[in-house]
Amino acid sequence: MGETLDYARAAALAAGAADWLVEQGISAGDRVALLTVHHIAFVPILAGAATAGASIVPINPHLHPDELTFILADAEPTLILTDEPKELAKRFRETPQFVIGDVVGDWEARGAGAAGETIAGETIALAGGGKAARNGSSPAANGDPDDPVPAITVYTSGTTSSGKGVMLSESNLIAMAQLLANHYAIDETDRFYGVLPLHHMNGIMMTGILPLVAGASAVLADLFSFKNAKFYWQHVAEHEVTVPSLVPSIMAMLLRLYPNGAGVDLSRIKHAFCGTAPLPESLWKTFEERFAMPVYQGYGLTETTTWATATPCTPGHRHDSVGVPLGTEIEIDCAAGSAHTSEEGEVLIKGPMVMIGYLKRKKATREIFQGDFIRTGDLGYFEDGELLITGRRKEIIIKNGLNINPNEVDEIVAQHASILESKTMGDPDDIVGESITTVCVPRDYAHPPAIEDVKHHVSEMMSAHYRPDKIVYLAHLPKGPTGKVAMRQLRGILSGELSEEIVKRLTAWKYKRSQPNNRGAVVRTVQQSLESGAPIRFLTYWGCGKRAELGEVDRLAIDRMLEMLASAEYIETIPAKLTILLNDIHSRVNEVPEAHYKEYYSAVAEYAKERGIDSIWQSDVWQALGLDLNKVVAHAESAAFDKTWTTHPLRAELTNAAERHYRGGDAERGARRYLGACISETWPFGEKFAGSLFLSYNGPEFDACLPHLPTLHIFSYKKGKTVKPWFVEEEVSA
Amino acid sequence: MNRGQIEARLIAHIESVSAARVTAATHLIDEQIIDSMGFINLIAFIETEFGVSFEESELDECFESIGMIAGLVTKKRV
Repeated sequence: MGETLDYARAAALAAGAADWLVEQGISAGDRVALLTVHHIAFVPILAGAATAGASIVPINPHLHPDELTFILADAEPTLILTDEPKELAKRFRETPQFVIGDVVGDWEARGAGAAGETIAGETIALAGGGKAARNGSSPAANGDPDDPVPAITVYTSGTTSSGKGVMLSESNLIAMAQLLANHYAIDETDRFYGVLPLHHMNGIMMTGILPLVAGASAVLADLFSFKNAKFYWQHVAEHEVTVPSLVPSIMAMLLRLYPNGAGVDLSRIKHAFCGTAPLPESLWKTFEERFAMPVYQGYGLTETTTWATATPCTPGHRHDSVGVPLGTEIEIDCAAGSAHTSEEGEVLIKGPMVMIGYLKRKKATREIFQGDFIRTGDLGYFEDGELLITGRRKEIIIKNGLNINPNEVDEIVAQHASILESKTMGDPDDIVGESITTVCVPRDYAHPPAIEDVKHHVSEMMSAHYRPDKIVYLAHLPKGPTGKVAMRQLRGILSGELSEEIVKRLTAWKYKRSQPNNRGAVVRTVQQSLESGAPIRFLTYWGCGKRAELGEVDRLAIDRMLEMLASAEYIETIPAKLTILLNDIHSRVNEVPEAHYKEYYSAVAEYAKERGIDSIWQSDVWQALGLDLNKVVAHAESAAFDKTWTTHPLRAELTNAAERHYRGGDAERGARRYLGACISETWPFGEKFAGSLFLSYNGPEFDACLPHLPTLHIFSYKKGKTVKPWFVEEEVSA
Repeated sequence: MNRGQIEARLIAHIESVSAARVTAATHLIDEQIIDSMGFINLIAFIETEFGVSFEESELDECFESIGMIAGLVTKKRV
């Protein structure tokens, strides 16, 4: 067991600290920076400073030096108290600095005379019992209610562009604590268990001010870590805790570590509190069942002190809402007007816990207030009197209860020599609320920097909690007309949902004659295009029948393919591109007169060009690949090909087709020649056109004779028609 | 099961969940092979797989590498 602070000693410390602070020259309106994770004297210092008329600025001592510098420079404290002597002196030479351990004895000695009795929480200096207040110099005690003075200034983040000091008054803190105490019937029999830091409002309220105001007690344990997690319930039971204070990530870890329940007697626990991040429904229910205790969560911002809503304290509470307003008036700013609270809109909060404003930021303060209401930036609606939060208007990521402005991460990432640009976003995460994903566009997509290298770069420049959990490389960021990243598309690329959707459209029954043999490969091909920013490429074969001139059916079929391709064009910068392969080799194999097929293919190529489609002669590809038609044909007609031919599953079909299309006489000979040509192309063409999707008018059974590519089987010139357009001789009307 | 077998089992488990190559000496946390939830999962895995449980100080001191964990598990199973 560590140090114990009873109310008498806490009051003495608070009074002594107030006295000492005044002696150090602290006066009304000053700020005292308090760098500690969870010093036991935290609440007495807060109370002592309030008595002296000053506000404390709690700061995480483990912040990155740049963030620490920003907060200290912004807050301009008159004095710095820290429990971890650091290299602050160099940077803030002008500001007096004290290590709490060095002065706490002095406070106790000073306070011993000032507060001789054990007093209930709220009478501790928070209500102004110290020397300064008695002298009438404390605006906290005597202040004008219209011009409240902050008792605490909490920074929302430590970075220049988004860090703001939220000023909360003594009455904010006390109102919040009283509302919580009344709502959940907290009294002197309660004991809180805190494993969260005291530089964040949740820890300050739940294990500091709330127990104080309710006259309860709190155990300030070591911060929760994955190493002490295994012993959490043991400690809770040993300390006879009645209210553990949790966050969703801790709940998830406890569930994982205690598959069969806590294994210790938790019967003293009345309920647990959970804050700082959205609590997923399944996690909430499972936790309550496994550990047999109700868990109550609340919703609020640092700007609303802690919770503006809270789960009703009734059995069978719902698990999809953040509860009922807690002494607050909540409006929903939606299109239908703020009276329509059942429609989704921005959540606006008014109440006794709404902050005074942001320190030194009049514009930001004006912007967040709408009259007496604060604009939360969160979206939600009411159902049966309970608030349901549906999303956020702002892009801020909340990870482990800490606000992270994604733009700041991107600014840092962009300073990496090998990164062109990036987009950081939050991903819902059952453990930490939201995890950080940074999509980076490397300067050279083929040779991106090591992911660890980019993470390390961010760590060097910012606190650890800004470090992206996941780095993804894309060759481009999808953008809208204004140059802003198209978030929905970007998320769709990352999740793979966009490629699934594109393939769904490409395989709509309007176009599809049958299912692809390998849908997974089709999806992967589309996904690769989306990731690399390259066009989605399609390849199709075009044959020649008895017509030498372009027919209406040919135009219809080509136009249909274009229409189908357009459905794949989700992202403006990623077009769908079709290449028509003019099968002059197959025509030669079928002994079609050269002048005939050349005339036809040229007409096809001309129409294709008109429609913006590339065409390429099969003979050119053969030449490029070093394929020799004479050899292929000779092989197909030789005895060496007998086995391939006699065992081929398409033998009958090909012979049947050759009877109609082979102009050299013997259909079987023609079919063998045709099969030989096809087989020799399958793999080389697959490699040559790798990354393309093949469009086939045949059924899937023919895939083995076609280029080895993911293949879509489509109707030809009209839904339901499978005949190849070049074999249609009569005129067809659309 | 001897220490070598326990090590091999742990290496196989960690490689399967982290997709990283590890040796008995790899520092699991410092080298970011596993994160905090990964650590929690590892404890849960070891407890079920080898039927042992740990003291608080052991998790703090002996969970740095697979070699150290295997040593601790071997000792506990005796």
